[in-house]
Amino acid sequence: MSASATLTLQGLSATVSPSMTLNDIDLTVGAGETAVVIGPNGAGKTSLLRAICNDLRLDSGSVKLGGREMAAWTLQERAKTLAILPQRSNLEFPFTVTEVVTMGRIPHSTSQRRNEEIVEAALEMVDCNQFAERFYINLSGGEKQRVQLARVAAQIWEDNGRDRCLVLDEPSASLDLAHQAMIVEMVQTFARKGVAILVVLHDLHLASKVADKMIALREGAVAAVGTVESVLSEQLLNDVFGVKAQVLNNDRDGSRVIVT
Amino acid sequence: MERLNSSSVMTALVLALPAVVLLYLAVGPSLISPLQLFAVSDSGDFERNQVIMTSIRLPRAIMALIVGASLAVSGAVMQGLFRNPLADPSLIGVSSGASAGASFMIVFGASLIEGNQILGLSVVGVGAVIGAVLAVFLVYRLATNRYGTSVVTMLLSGVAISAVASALNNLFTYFADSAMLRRISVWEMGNLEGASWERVALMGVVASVLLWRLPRYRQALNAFLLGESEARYLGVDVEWVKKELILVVALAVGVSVVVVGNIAFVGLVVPHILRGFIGPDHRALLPASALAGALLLLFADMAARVLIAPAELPAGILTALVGAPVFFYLLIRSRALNNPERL
Repeated sequence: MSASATLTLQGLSATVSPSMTLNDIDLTVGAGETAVVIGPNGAGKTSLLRAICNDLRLDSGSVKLGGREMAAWTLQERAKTLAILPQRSNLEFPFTVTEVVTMGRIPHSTSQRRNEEIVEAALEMVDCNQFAERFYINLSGGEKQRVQLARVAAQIWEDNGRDRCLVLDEPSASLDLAHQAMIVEMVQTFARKGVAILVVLHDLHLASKVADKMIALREGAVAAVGTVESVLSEQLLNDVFGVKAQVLNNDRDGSRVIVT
Repeated sequence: MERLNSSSVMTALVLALPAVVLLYLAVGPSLISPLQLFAVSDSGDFERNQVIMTSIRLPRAIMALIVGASLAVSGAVMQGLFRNPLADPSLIGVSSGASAGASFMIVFGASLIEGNQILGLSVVGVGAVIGAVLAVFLVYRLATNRYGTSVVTMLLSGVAISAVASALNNLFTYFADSAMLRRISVWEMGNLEGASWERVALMGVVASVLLWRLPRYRQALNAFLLGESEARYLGVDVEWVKKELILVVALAVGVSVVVVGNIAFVGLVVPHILRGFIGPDHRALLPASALAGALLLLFADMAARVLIAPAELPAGILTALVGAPVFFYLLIRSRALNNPERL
């Protein structure tokens, strides 16, 4: 594991569209750390992820992965270090679930047997092994979401001495209650293994469960950044989301419950 | 639809290929045993048969094989690249550009450069090459800006450029006399009749480039089906892959149009049908498409030669006549079996 943080954003600014810019965003996510991005619709959360992945040209500032400029990575090398789950994927071809998850192993040159083991374990992790041989296109929205999660998990499954980073854009969007808990477990498992995790979440309760660090975006700029306690205040909910809400402390696991 | 084991499908195709080639060589206006290729005798009949074999049927069989394989593989690549199972090599304007170029030469060029031949191609062929290259270049330029190439814009500009090309084609046809008209329409139907060893060599070189470059993109094409961003996140250099694949497909389809004309439906139907049997994984789909495309065109051309013997049908008409109904049947069947709510 390198000494520097796995993912470092410094003064990141980018123009997304004439009406949408990202302004001067700083953020570090260390190995084993989970950072959660929150904010209302259109605050720039997905744009921020795109800027991090080099899909969006930066006006100024920098993004570093494992101490190296993101743009300096070859795509092939980067894919072994950084796995990204987009908000939605539309796959229209009749792949089986196993085949979709196996694509997560494309960047790696591990043996077929090893890949099969990893794919099976990843499917197990997201509770999909009972329909491993079904066609992806016939699954429900939540099931598809879990399969895609398994795919990115398989991509950075192994600890091969390099930094690992997982970026998830609203992974819980179409999941039921049980599988939202599964996301929490999955994120915590990867964090324990030293993976740096950046995740966009709308469910603030879930966010408070997994976040070591929270970053609230409003109109493309950082409104607050810090621990869950410092960011998830009634004042901030009012400022950022424009909602009068109560933040309750759940004594069982220290998570927060938002009541409106 | 139940999947079949892809390696057994591949084995079946590999085994069928030599059998169909032998059948193809034997069948025709006169029935000849293909074994005569290797025999020695000095009877007059025998010599005549050997000439038929080596200078007519054999080059034509090889032409059918490599054109069929190239078209089917190009179709599979296009469908992957455009993430659309109904995509077709002609989408990027190759065929319509080639047709316009050829018509131009038939109407205006042939009288200027009478009898000139380049690499066994007539001036008409050269016109087709230029037309195809121009069309693909325009389609590609229109869809590319500094952020990369958009496959959606490419699809649309392909439609637009094809429309322009067929309008030009009509314009040239308007000025044609009736002998020219017949040449244009025969040329456009797609016909393997003129297969010579020179043309086989030309197409062979192009097909080798295609089949040599493609295997390294099998996984990239799989990743493409997830989406362009997803492919990039999996380490695929998306812009480069698009550029190279468009180039080799345009080259292969363009040259095939030049040597045999437009062969419809092979590029669309073959990969589509195979995907139903063995799944969309390009590691199996590309080689299986090559084999099945070769077989299909071989069959179609065999039928084209014997159905109204001693005259011939253009093979392109048969591939479309047979391909389209089969295609509809499969669409309807997969809809009924698989996911009634889709399509």
